Amino acid sequence: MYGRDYQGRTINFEASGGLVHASLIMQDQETDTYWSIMEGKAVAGELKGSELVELPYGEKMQWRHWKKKHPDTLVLSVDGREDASQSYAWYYGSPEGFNYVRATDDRLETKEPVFAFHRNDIAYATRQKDLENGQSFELEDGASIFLYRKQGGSKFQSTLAFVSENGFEQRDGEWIEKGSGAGFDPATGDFADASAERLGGFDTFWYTWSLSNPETRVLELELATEPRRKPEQHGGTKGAKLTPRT
Amino acid sequence: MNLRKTVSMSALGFALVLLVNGSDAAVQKQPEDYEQILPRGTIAAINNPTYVPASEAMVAPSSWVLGVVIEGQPRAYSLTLLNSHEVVNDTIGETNFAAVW
Repeated sequence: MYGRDYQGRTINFEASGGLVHASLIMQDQETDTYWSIMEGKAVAGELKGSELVELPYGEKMQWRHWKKKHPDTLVLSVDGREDASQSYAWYYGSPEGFNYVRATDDRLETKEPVFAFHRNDIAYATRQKDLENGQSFELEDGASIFLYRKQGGSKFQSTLAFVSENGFEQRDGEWIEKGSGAGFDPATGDFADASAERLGGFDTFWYTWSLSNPETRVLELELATEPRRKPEQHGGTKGAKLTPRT
Repeated sequence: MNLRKTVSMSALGFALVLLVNGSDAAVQKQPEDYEQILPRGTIAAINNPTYVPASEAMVAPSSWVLGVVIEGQPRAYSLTLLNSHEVVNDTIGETNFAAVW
């Protein structure tokens, strides 16, 4: 989800029909500026340099769950249809990138599903499979990020991301924002009293993200066998660390 | 002499304007490593989206949607429709946004 108001005008985006490193490039219909979703900014044209405003309001889920959660929802209808057949199934099942593009950064596999985001001009990525039932990582600026994916959930589910200056910890199986003591509720996908700030980001593949963001920090889980790990710091769960690009 | 100088200065000025415009045009160039796969416009964005209430929507229960709540108003976009159009340019209340997937 992106804002459409830039430099005093409201613009309409569309697919440019082109790609950079196999990731979508949009153009706006008013100035023809090229916008890179993966870089989060305008990369060529009149509005070049404008940061793409990300709105962290979107959430992917199956229709039956969304409808139950929001019975008063409106549904997009195009030419009398609200749904269509799955057209990209082959792509999700393949180890190859689009157009056979591969990652040049081999820290992760080309088609490793990752959650990736920018914070303070630094790009981060982490494996989606490490995020089941929640995981917390410390970022370069000292803040902590909490990332959550439902265990055994679909690859289409959205990773939920929250940041806090106070950090997060797991107590008795529940994730807590340490400043407020508020717990994360997997049913609502939020912390009580909105005590942690929601952060946007991408559920994507490693090659798409890393080709556009070569300086990405990969957030890795610490191995349980690592020496001198203090269990109490991590609430008895696997801890997390940063692996800068080597 | 002065007139000739004025004319030549004007010509120089005109050339400079051309140069400046030329560099403006250069700014419009495509991004580095850009690869045009389909002609622009092949994937038509939706600019004036229309909606039906949940009770009228023909969506399979297991189909995936991108859901959004802005200013208290929920909307759902089928991922398969988003696949075909890539972008929905939408507005809820004061918020102008693009749903992209």
